[in-house]
Amino acid sequence: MLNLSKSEKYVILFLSISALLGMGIIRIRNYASNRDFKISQIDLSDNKDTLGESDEKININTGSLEELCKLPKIGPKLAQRIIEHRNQYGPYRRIEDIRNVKGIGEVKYNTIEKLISVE
Amino acid sequence: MKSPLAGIAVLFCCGILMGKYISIPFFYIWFFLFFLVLIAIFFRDKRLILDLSILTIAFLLGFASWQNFTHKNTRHIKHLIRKSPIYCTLTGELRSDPVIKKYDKLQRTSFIINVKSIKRRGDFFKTEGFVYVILTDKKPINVEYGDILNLKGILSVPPESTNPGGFNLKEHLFKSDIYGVLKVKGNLGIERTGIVRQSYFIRAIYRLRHRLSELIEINLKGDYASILKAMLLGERQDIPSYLNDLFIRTGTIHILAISGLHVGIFAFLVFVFLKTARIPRLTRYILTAVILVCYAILTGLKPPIMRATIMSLAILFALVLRRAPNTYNLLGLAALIILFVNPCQLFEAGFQLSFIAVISTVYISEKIFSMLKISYKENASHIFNKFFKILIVSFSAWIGTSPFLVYYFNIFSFVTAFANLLVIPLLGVIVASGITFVILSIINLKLGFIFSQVTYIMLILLKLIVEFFERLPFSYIYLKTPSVIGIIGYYVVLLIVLNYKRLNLRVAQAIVVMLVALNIFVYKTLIFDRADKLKITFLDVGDGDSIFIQFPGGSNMLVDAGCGGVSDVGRFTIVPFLLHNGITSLNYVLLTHPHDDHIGGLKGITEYIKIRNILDNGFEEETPVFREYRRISREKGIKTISLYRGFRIDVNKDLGVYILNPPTLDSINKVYSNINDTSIVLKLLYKDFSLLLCADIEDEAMRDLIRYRNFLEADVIKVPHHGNRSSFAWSQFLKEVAPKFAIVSKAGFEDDITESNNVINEMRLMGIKVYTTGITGAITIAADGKSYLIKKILDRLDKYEFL
Repeated sequence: MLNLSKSEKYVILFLSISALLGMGIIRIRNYASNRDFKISQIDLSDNKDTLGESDEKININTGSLEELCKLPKIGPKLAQRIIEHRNQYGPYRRIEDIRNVKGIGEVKYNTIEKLISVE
Repeated sequence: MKSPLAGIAVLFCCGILMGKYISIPFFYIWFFLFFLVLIAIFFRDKRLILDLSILTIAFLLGFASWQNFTHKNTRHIKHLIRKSPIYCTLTGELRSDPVIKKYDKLQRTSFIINVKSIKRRGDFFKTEGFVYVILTDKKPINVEYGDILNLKGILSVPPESTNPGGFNLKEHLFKSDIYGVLKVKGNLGIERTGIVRQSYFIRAIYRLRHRLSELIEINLKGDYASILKAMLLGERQDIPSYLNDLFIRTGTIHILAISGLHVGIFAFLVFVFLKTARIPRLTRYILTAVILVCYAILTGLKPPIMRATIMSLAILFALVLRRAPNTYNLLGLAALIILFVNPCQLFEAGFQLSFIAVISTVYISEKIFSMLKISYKENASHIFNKFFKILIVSFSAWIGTSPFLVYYFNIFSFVTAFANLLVIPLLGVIVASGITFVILSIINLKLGFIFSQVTYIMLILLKLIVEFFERLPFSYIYLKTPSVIGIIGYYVVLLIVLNYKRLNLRVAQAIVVMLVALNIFVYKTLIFDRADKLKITFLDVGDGDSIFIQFPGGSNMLVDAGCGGVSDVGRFTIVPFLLHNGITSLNYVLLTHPHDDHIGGLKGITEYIKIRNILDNGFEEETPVFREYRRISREKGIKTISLYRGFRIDVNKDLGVYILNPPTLDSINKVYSNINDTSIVLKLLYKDFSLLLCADIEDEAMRDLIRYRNFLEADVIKVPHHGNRSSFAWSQFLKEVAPKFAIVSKAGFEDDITESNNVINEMRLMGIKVYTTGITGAITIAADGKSYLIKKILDRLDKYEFL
């Protein structure tokens, strides 16, 4: 119907194939970009130099104001009160004793429990 | 020339285009024009010289009309408006039909005023020009066309689009010759002092329109009333966005905007009515013309309506003179009149679509008919033949308008030709029956109600048809916004193929041209649209977060989804941004914590974009926003993973994302008391580039994070909690991160921020460059692992920053 000559047929065939090929590559590329990532769990604290000194527990009997402030949920005011408490009543004998400080309740204690020590 | 006006209109358009990009002193143009007119008069007998000089005159007039439009005298309000808003009182005439939009508690009334004077801090200036007024109040405010008003409010330059692909109000209003926006709150800021005397005629027409709109609402319900209001009265503000999408996706959106079809049907009805009423011929024509003009005013004089009305009037005129009108001439005449009034309409979507639709239905179908050797006027007795012809016309409109539809809506529809085949005849029935029932309702409500049922059924049918076509598999696809060169290329190829006989091409050569174009398109996409860089876009979503990350290799992640609610950021900012970039699926959506300014937009996104995975912070609590979020992820069957400290997402071998916060799953009950502190904090590491996204963390989380100091260091930080001062630990935290650049996701103007925000000032003092999305608009960082560059959408002066 179209009366194509031989060379015309080749040209058209070639162009069609190259276009299809290109589209195929785009399709594959899009498909590849849609795969899910690998989500794994690593222990951030395994990495020695990433953790620094925070591995050590903070001694509530010797800890300075600054050190105590590093504890979660403990601000400068509360840290000051922890220091005042030990100056007034002597050193803490057990870590539970810190609950006697005004402002440290159940929730705060549970948070810092594993991060503090008395010796 | 067969259609001289068309040629003149085309050159006029070229003149406008040139005027937009080149500036020549008016005097030279005027001089040259004068000279050309003289030549034309002298050589009026020499065809060629006369034609050429007339065309050049048209070109120069286009050029001059653009300059005339944009150049304003010193009194114009354009020179009085600054970017930072000012409080002032404007006096002016109301010059449009106020549009009322209802929200939960508030009513938003918007209209245009022609400003006469401005008062500010005791200073009084006479001025001129148009201002767009937005009035918000609890009760509706009664203002009408032609009122003289005193308005107290905040005047500013209209907002530009601050996100790629976003709506640009400044440009939109500029096209209507409007340079300012005045925001008025409550009815205390508005005072009516009089009425412009000449406005009674138009006031009456607008009152009629409100009455008709009420009548439609009485007789029809919900969606159907809003569709009919759009079709008959041009009121599109009540159409819900899902319905709008439905029509866009099937390529039938044109039936919701009054255009040639509607005006044509209306004109035909009026004409037939007058003929049956046995009104004498000339009176009949004049009456029809008058009614058409009234209808055009009633429906708001938008460019498609103007085009259709001018063409109809010209046809009527031709009929009076008993001459056959030439379509291209009519089109040229309409274009010339519209553009002479406002040359900016050339860049308006409505204008372009309206003209391209007519041109393609006429021109392309004519060419296809001649190609298939079917005579257009040949009386096809065979029903199949007739159907085939209509299909070709519909198909022509489709291939002619598609590039524009892709450009404006990012949608390419495959079903357009077929959907229109059913929808357009239905449109005729709906418009005809709608007009009948509305007019009968004016006479008698009950009678109107009976007739309205026909319209009602037809509207149901219309919605069903459109829904059917939308649901077909592969009915539409989303495409990236094409470049202007791409669009021009498309039309050039189309013209070559349609005119292959005239160009003495063989069929094979025409096919080759098409295939070459296809190859160029495919390989251009293959080579240039490859994602080989890490691209991070901090979208401007006001006081909220939304960060889009395009990973090298093509996968992507959206961190947070901005606010929901009335100004749904998901639907109106994030979705247009994604579609503009050709992104239709998100590999991951990471929701740092379930506050509305971070997950509110999710719902809007899921309606358009396929989300494959959701990552969240494992928060479990019964709050409305959270419940909504869970419902969406369940309904759509999206896989959800909860992340906490220690998770690593491996994007590829060079790029990893580390989760630093929250410390444990369910940390709201175990560790922190504040939801903000449980936000996911993530560190992205790509070769030499690192980024820390801090979401909304506050004091406690920052204290905790300081312990992981070697993970904190980053080149760029997204400042926690929109730069709000909330933490003692912030200074220390910042020292550990030691960023070079800081990005704050926050609304507000430069002055407010530098005056009041300590966090930002502190960082600036430390020598960190701080960018705020509210000031610079969306911020994009492109990193190839060695270097990176930061691009801000609004900072035209220093657009790129090489590092």
